[in-house]
Order: sequence, then C-alpha cells, then structure tokens
Amino acid sequence: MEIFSALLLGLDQAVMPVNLLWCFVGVLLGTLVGVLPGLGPAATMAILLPFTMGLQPVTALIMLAGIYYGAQYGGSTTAILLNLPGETSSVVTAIDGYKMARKGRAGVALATAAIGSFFAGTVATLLLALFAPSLAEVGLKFGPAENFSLMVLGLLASVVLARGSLPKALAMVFVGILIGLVGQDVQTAEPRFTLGLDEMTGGINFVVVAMGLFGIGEVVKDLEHAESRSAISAPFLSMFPSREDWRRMVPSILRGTGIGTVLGLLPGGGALLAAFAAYAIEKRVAKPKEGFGNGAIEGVAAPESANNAGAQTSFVPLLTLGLPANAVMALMFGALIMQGIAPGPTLISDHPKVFWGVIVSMWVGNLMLLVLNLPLIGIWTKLLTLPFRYLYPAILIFCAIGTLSLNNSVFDLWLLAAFSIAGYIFVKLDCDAAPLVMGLLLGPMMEENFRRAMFLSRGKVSIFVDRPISAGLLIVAVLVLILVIMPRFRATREEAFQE
Amino acid sequence: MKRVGPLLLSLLLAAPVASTALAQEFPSRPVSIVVPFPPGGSVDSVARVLAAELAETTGKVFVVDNRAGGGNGVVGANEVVKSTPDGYTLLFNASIHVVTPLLNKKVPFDVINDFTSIAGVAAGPLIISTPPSTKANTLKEFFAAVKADPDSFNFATSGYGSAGHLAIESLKAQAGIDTDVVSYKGAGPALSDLMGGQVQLMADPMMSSLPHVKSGRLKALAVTSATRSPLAPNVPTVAESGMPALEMLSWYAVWGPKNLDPKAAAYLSDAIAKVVKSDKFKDKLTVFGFEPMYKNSTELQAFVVDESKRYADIIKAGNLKVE
Repeated sequence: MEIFSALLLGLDQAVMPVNLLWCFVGVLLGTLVGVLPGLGPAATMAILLPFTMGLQPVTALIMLAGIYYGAQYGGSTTAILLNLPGETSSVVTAIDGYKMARKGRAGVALATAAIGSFFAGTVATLLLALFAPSLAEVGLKFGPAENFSLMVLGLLASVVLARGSLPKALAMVFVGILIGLVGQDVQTAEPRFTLGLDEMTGGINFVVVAMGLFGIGEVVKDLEHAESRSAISAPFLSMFPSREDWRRMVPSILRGTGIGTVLGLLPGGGALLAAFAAYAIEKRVAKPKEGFGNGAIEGVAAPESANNAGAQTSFVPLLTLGLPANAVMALMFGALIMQGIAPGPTLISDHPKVFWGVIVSMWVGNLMLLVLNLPLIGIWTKLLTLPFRYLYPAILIFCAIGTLSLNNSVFDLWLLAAFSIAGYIFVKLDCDAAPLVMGLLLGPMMEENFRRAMFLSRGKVSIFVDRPISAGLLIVAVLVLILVIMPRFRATREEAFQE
Repeated sequence: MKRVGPLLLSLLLAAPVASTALAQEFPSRPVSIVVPFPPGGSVDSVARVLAAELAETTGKVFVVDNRAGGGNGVVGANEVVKSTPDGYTLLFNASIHVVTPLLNKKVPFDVINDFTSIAGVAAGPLIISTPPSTKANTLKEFFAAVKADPDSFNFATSGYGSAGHLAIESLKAQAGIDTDVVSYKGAGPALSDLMGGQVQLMADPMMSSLPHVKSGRLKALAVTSATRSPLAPNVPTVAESGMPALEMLSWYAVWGPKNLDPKAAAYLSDAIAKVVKSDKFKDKLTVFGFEPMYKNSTELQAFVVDESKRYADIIKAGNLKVE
C-alpha cells in the first residue's frame, strides 16, 4: 500500500493552489501552441525555461509537463478542422479527422479526440505511478541493434500508411532519409552534403521541414481552390458522439492507449511513433463502414489516445533513469538540472515530492484539459468561419516566428521558404509528405544505430537476428512488407485511401 | 522616397547622442551572452547560472542567447567573432571551443587570435565508468582484460571531440589499444548503452554520470582530475587506478570578439571575478558536478594555448580523422 501513500503525497503537491494555477497555465499554453501550426511544445518550453527558474522545482515541472501534453490535445484540433496538424503527432489524425469535419462532424471528431486523450492520459498516469521503475528496464534492453530494427519497422509502417501510390511513398521515404543525412557524420564528425555552409553542419531542422511541407505548402495549395476548404463549414451539428460513435470508438481508444503506452517508453519513439503505429494497427483490426480515410471515427480515436499515452509514458526514462527520450524530454532534463535536481534513478527516493507531484499533476492536468476542451470546441470550430485572408497570413507568420524561435537563425527561414516550395511541388505531384518526414526523422537514427551495431559486432550483420528483440521486430517488418506486396492488401489499401 | 531624407537626418543627429551615452557607462543596455548550443545542455545551464548571478550582483541585464545553428558551436562562435567589440556580445563556451578547430580545418576563425579572453568560469572532472557486469575494478585491470580479448570491449563517447572522447583516446594510447571509439549524439543515449552493457567504457561529466554511479547502475573506475573530487571522494584518480596520471577537465569560459573595448573588458572581468569567487556560485555549480575555476584574461589566454597544444597531441596520437 506504499503506492497509495506515495500517490497521496503527490496529490497533496498537485492540488496546492500555486501548483494548480501553474498546471492550468501550462495546459492552456500547451493547447494554444498545439493549435498553432509550427509553434510546438519544444520551442515554447525552450522560451519559457529561463522563466521557470524562479518557480519551485515541482511547480516548474508541472507547468512544463502541462505544455507538452496540452499540445497533444491542441495539435489534434487544427488537424481535424484545417487538415493542418499542429503537432507532428497529429499527422495521422488529420486523415480521418478532417474528413469527419468536412462531413459536418467536426464537433464529434474533436470530442472523440478529447475523450480518447483523457482516457489514455489517465491510464498512462496510473501505469506510470505503478510501474515507472520496472517499465524503464524494458527500454534499457534496447541496444543499437534493437533500435535499428525498430526504425526499419517504423519506416515500413509509414510507407504503408502513406496516401497515394506505394512507389511514390517509398521515394518520399528515401528523399526524407537523404535530407536527414545532411550534417555532421556521428562517427567521424565529417560534414556531409552541407554545401560548405556552417549553418548546415548541424543538419536540417526537422521542425523547419515539417512546417514548410505541412504548414505553408498546404496553405499555398488551398489558396488554389479555396472553395474546397470552405466546404468544411458544413453545419456544425453536435459535439456529442452518438451511441453508435461510442460503440465504435471505445475499442479503438483502448487499443490506442495500449500501443501508445508501450511505444512512449522507447527512446526516440514517443507520441509520434505511437500515433502512426496505432493508426496502422487500427486499419488492420477495425472495419468502419465508410473505410479509413473517409472520416472513420476509429481513425481519430486510436491515434489521439496513442499520442497522449505516448507523451505521458515518455517521462518514464527521464524520471527513473535520467535519460531524455526525445527533444522535449531533453528540455525537461535541462529544467531539472537548472532547478538543482539531477535526473536519474535516485530522483524518486531523493525528491519524492517532485516525482509524485508531477505524476499526479498529469492526471489533474488531463482533467483540466477535458473540462477546458469540451466547451472550447465551439470556439475552435468558429475558426472555420474565419475568412482565409486573415487565417493564412496568421499561419505564415506563426510558422516564421516558430522557425526563428528555434535557433534564432535567419538561415532557417530560408530553409523554411525552400521547403514550402518543395511542399507545394509534392502536392502537385500527388506525393504524400508524411513518409518524407518519417524518413527524415528515423533515417539518421537508423543509420546511427546501424553503424553502431555493426561496430559493436565487429562487422557481423548477424547481430540483428542473433538478438531476440531485434529479430522479433525484423520479423514483424518482413510480415508488413509481405502484406504490402500481396495484391489483395494493395487493393484494400488503395480502397482505404480513396478520397 | 520622400520620407527617407528626414529619417536619415534624424539618424545622423541621433547617432552622436547615442554613442556618447554608450561611452558614459558600460552596460547601458542588456549584455547578450551567446551560447552556441540549444537550451538544456551543460554549457547552457552553466551560462544561465552565471548570467543570473551577474544580473543579481551588478543590477544590470545579462541575457543568454542560444545560437545553435550548426552542430559544433561554430556558427554561434562565428557570430561573436563578427560582432562589434563593444562588450555587449560575449561568447560562453566549453573546452569543445578549442577542440573543434583541431578536428575541422574549415572553422572560419582562429581560437587564439580572433577572440579576447575575458575569464575562466568553471571546470569539472569526468568520471570514467563501466557497467557493473565488468569484472575489472581499476583501469589497470580493465585494460589488461581488453588486451586479452580486444573484440569483447567497446568504448563510447557522448560526442566526437568531447573532453570524454579525448580522455579515452589518451588512455587507449597509454594502454596501447587501437579499437575505435563509438560516437553518440549526447550523453543520454550513450549512458543508456553503457548501463545496458552494449559498450564497456566511457568518460563523461559528473552531472550526467554521477547519479548512475551512486545508484549502482554504473561502476566508476576513476575521475580525470589530478586529485580526488570532493563530489565523489570514493572514486580514485586515474593514477590511483593504475594508469599514468591524466588530467582532463571539462571547462567553461567567457570570450569577447578580438580588440574588445578595454573599458568593457575591465568591467566584465571584475563582475565575473566577483561572481565566480562567491560561495553562492560555488554551491550552485556543485549540482552540475563542477567547481568554480577563475582565470583572469591573461591566465585564460595562456590556458587556451596550452590546452590546444595538449589536445592536438592526443588527436595525433589517437589518429583521429581531421577534415
């Protein structure tokens, strides 16, 4: 019953008025930056980091954590309403969510996302409290070989998930990998494909590419035929899911939560991979009558639950091992250090108030988000009636500010412009940008882990099949590949993406 | 076009006024401390502690400005080189500032001649550790085991050219071993593989490694300072662990562009000296596993020259790739 006294200690911290206030500030800010395409939680947290030094450690962490999971809620809002994923983890939500909105079911889609996120957040918080220390051990079992195999699977999944033709999706993955290779080689620090520019030695920032392709590229496309977008302003009927909706979304939410919880623990995984994987699995399991890609509620419920669960469980390696799993966690790591707390295995015993306070605040924060979001859905949907001549310049400005806030680098703005043009060209060529982004994200990590694994095994390729977890992941990857090649599956897949 | 004339005129009139105001007293506007890395790392953390303390003791505004373009801190440092030497743009960086130009010949500045050394601020030893499953308890035993079975041992570093990388290269050269060091992007993933037993040896700053040593997930074999660290008094020095003595600190300092305005340099040097010598600064650094290491302008300049030579020798001995 130790866990109860620990949770009580956490609750004691979480409901202190000052902590409640900052938790609210965090989730509100998070929702806001989630709604705004381009400005992500990492940029926001980085901007606010110096400011949190004046707060108590537990308060500062509660607020920063709130920004992260708040953004997962907010990110889905623009994905559903504008087909503009506010966060990369909401990319798949846009596929079915936007279709639902165009059918006049924007309110239901947003409610589904909020309910799914709340449920997943609650479950993930409970699991975090119960299993945090032992869960982290699973992540530790992953060496370079396992990471490589995991990424192979992730990339294959992104090809299967892509809209349009398979060869195009594969081509986009490779373009993404090539862009990802720009910058210093990890093993020898040799600059590659940098055109001799110092600004390129650190590689091309993922956020800039995503903003250019998804944010601006899409805006430009929509300006071509603005009437198609105004079609979404179909009557906003109701935000309450019908009984039929509930029946369909519950199993999806459960599956999404399970997948997200596990994938959030993995290094480099987190919310993004969780959402993609959940959508892929949903497409295998669920059989919506309208088909995926046509506004299936399952396609919103599963990835939204998964990204929120993943966002929350990605705190596990940080709080129990001091290992930041992604960029946002690296910022949390920085915040802890600035507060004079060394993140690591001793954190739970040395600073129980901080650990349990943050855990319980996540649940409190999720409750706030639910309360905050359900009424706000009305306001968010009003965004649709906003004339595009106001909305689009605003998006462009926020993308530019978001880009500049990353590194204070004007060079990044030029890159943003270049990728916006590329994004428009891809749209014209009917190439889905999602596989490119996955290639860009996973490609360099895959290369890094592949070379490291080869290095450790002294050049024996068998390391990837000798290690059981790695072999298991590769077998799944091969199965996915076989599925893709099978004509029957290809037919189903093309049907699923019919617009 | 009509408006340009008056605008230019007013600028011309305003310019001398502004410059006399600047001449009166040095920090008449915020001083920006450029950190050439994203927020959150150790360079950024120490810079923020320094900026906060400077602001408190002087009552002036000191802002940390993260200029992270490029992966190795070259872009941020180059911006400082190109800035006006009026004392309002400073560079805060670590030992890597000196190492990068040794590994990359294309760096557009000269570390020794293109900067004005202002002050050394902090330093800390690295902990050399291994997974608990390794049988060796000293560096001597460890390298004896490596000699006997070189293919079963791997060395890691949190970044190519980091202080930890150089420390390992230096030990390898002493032990006569030529296995390459596996590079990671940051201490997080590298420590994860070290704890998981994927790699067997790494030298890494106290901040990231000490918690794992204390919890028993890592076994510390040595610290890279000349004497034991008060933060980890049980960990022997490299000499005590059976290898020739080695001192490899990760250190932090403040620079300005070359030909820095002497008035500004004097002000900054005094202000930084006051902070670095205070007990409060010392306490705040302890958390990071660092200690204050004050060096005045001349001392820092000499230190940079010496370290640069020493690093160059290690790089040559370890046969590291130079671009």
